[in-house]
Amino acid sequence: MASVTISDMRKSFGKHEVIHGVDIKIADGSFVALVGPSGCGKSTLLRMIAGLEEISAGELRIGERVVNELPSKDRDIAMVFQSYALYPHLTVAENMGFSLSLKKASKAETEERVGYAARTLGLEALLDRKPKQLSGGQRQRVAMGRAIVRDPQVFLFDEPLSNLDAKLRVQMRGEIKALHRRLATTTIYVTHDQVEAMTMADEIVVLRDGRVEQAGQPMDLYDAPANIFVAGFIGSPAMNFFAATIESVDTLRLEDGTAIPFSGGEGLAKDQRVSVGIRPEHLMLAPGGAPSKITLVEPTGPETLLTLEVGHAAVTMVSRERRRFTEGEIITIAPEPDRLHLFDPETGMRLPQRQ
Amino acid sequence: MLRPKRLGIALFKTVMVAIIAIWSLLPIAMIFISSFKFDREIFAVPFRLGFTPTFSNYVALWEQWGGFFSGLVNSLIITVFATVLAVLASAIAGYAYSRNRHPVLSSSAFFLIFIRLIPPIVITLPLFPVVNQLRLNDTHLVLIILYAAFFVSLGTLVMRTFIDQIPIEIDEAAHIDGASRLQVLRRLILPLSGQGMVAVAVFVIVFSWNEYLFALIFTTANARTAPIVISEMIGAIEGVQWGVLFAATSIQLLPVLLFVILAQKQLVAGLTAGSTKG
Repeated sequence: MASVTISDMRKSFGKHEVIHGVDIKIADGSFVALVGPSGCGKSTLLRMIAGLEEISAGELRIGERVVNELPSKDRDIAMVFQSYALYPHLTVAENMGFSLSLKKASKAETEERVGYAARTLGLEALLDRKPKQLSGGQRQRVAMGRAIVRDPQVFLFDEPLSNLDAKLRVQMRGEIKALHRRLATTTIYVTHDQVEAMTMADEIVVLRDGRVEQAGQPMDLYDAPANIFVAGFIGSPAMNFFAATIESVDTLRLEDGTAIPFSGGEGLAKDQRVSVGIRPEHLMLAPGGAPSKITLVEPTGPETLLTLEVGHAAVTMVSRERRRFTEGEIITIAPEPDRLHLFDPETGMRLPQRQ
Repeated sequence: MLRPKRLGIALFKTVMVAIIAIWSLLPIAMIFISSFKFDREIFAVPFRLGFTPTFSNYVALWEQWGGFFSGLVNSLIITVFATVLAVLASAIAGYAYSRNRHPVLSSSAFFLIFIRLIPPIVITLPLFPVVNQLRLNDTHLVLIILYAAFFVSLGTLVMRTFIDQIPIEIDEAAHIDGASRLQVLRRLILPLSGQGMVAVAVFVIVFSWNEYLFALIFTTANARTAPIVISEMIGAIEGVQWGVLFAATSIQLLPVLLFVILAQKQLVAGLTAGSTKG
């Protein structure tokens, strides 16, 4: 096991720079998720760590070693690919033992380590099968088994669950997390799915356009997003945003004239223009709140997803009330006063708020 | 029940297939059948299927044309080594073309196609003094190298297409697992592109086995191949023994025919590589 330290790392394809100086410190044994929309550079970053892409500038350390110039095989890492990348002509056992056969490990050692990985992942019965005889979830496990057998310093996962159906995805999510708890190997996990990142990671790094937008523990990102992008990216359904002005220490006024009470506004200037972010789950039914017309009702069982028209804006709300909502109905809503997020409309950065 | 129009189309197709099959197979069948006839029966008009088969032509071939059988051995040696050489070189080059992107590679790929368009005779004559100088005249080696070289360009393109279908993640996973490029090639790419190699092998085998021009120019006695001996039979002073000639042709034909039939399945897969998504 080892820590991973990324310092001012850059990647250019020709003249086109796609990673613009990224700094990330990953503690020994932690589980870090790199998230961001497609094209944000998260996979490129992972491939640079794996040694599959050259590092154009900056420094990459695994443990104390600078590994910029080392080939993949000398970095002591293992990687699980989105497509699994199993060797189609080899059996499950041969797939998992491939790295050992390259090292010319003894038969006994190979059997022991492949056996351990197979037991860990419940693959004992499948050792003689070829990859094409396996289901998606089983292939996924073999790919993980291949990584476990190598007993590396760092595990790298590149969107490993994207090709699985929803139910299996949730199950594998739990298995990978349990595996990490057991092996305690430093893990870097790339995903575009913020729910995966939230549920699995000790720490999340949100990337956009080759830059780190924010890094922190999942709940910190949820509770105090550093900017509008992170606020909109973390959380599902996504946060609602409104333009507003500060009227007093405890009141905001939206553009359509609605007054909203809030707390923690000390230090903000009166008449300052702000962007207000309100999470759908922090809106509630409130007599005397803003009148809103329901345009779409989507019950999921435990909660109901509502799309509302407030003034001219479309707003999403999640309600846990056990009540029948009908489309076209007018309800009155208000946000929880201490759950508002304020951002500078110019820079998109979070404004200081007393929590 | 087929509607008349469909029936018409089906009938038309069947007839066309039959015509093409007869067109290509009849001469071969006639030669094969004639090799079991006495000379006087061979050109009897009308052609007769009913006759008493005889092996006299094959016996005469063995007794009078021992050179044909040493020619067969030469053909076999040259074909086997030319094929191994061409397939290996094509696979390695195809791997390089498939996994690397560089302007020089792209333009050399065009060159590969371009040199296929040059008629062989154009390179044969200038090669003659070169081969003489190297004292390679009348050796197996010269034909092995020439035949292999002739197919490396096409073989490389076939192998490239084939290897393109093997996801690059497999290489990457293997590199992370600790494999060198050579190990990736030997342990993953070659085993996974077997069908492509069979396709290339078929080209080289059929060509090497039947090639006449290079063999005529570069061999005299020691490395003379079977087709050269067959052509000598036609030019024999005491008149052509057609039955013996047909016996030799039938023997010459058999190995390639068998090989192509056996490799048919792999061949189709190899030639259509890249045309559909696996």
